[in-house]
Amino acid sequence: MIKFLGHKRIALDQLETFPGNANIGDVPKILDSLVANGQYRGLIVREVDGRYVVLCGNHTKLAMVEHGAGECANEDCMLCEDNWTGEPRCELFSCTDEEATKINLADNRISEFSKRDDQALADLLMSIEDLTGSGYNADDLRLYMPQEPPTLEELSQEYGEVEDEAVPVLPVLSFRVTPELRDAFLELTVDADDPSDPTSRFAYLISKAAG
Amino acid sequence: MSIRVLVSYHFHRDTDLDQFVAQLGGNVDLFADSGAYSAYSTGAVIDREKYATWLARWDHLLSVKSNLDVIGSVQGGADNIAYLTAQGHEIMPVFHVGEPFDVLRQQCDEHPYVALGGMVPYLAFGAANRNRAQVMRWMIKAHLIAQKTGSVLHGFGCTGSLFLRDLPFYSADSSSYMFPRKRCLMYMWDDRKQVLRSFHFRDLSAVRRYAHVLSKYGIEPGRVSDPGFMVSGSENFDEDRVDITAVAMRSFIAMERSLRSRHGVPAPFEGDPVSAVTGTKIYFVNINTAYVDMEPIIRVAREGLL
Repeated sequence: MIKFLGHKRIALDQLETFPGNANIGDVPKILDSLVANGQYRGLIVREVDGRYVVLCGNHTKLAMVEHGAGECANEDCMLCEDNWTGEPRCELFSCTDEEATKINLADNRISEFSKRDDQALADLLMSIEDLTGSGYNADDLRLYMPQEPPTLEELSQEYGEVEDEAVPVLPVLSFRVTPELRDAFLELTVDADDPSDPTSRFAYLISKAAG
Repeated sequence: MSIRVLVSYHFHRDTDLDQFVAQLGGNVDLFADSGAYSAYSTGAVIDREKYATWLARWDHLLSVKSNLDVIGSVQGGADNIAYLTAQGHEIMPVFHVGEPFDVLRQQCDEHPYVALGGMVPYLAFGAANRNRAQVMRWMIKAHLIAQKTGSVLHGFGCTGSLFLRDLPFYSADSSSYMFPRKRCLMYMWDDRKQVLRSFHFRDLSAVRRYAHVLSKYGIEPGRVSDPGFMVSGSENFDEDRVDITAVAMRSFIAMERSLRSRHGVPAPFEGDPVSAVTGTKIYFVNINTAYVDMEPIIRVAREGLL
């Protein structure tokens, strides 16, 4: 049975990553977020036989190791600002091995079902001045911003003018035939004006059919 | 509840459109087309008196009425528009590929909403890629002409996302939302790149690549990749076809929302809040009332995505 045991600060060197964790997180991006936003969410940790195993937040833990247990050189670091001593805030649970695995799987899997509202995302990205630590960058901003369509004049310049308005484009006939039909077609149209041109062969066939 | 549907006289001459619209929840932006092109390709001929009667019969449901165009005859089309107008209908003229642009100039002088037609042979079966530059030049010229009079354009059979992404069409119609159930070919709108992504859903690597998009538009990728999905004669065949069609429809509705936000083409007429909205609008072509044709439209209409 899963039981919440309480909140606790636990030293990084006492925290074990979940064995066989299938998720591969982006540690540098998480570290950027820790520096910009601090630790805004506790690690989910299982206490078992006096050991502490991280169920959720394994890559946050790795990013914290990357950061180091002491203060860093960045004076704006929000993790350091939060009296950081190398002991992340953890939510402690006791549970069975099966339950621990299920929590680890669920935490990684369920977010994959999320859907994104691109318009809402664009609005949020536009609403903040500094994207650092948000997981997004200026390229993303350009990607999600609705772009103005080109003007007709710009399109006209790009594609050029219609050359012959009565025949803007020729239809394409495209279909597969058996080898026998293909051979029959080639034999029947061998006297076409230009036998090297399928269009000429087809026109010849039509003229024959029309009598 | 609302949805945009294009119905043609050729296919719906005997359909009770009151019942059709009621099935969809009543609030339908209904585009009436003669179906002349479909009729022509099957050797059928459409009687203009009967088309006029059909338009009058369902007038209370129709937000757009397009002309009975005559393939290869500008004068024939002009005669029909004169006749239908004399019967009291406000008719949208159709300008075809290959016709002199002066025809379009005159149509734009006289009408706020004009259709571009005859493009399907140039766009179908992958031909759009080969013909893109030439078709684009032709469409740009048409838009430049329409811009001068403030008219807006409908693109018959034109849901090629690259054309719609760059050109300010007021509306277009799509039958390619039926491709998933007919050809296992998905068209999924990518909001970020503003393009339709196409892939065969029997191709497992493509399903994996576009798994997030399939989920977004309402079907689990695992279901689509199941070898038993949409197998002819299976117990779930019809339900699978309905569900996969609804997925494609949601994708086209997302495309409409995105294009509307991008182009913001003003409505050329006044009307109810469903039909007289800012474009680009996308109409779903419906050619019959069989279960697998109607049910996806009914379901998506109920979702009120527009």
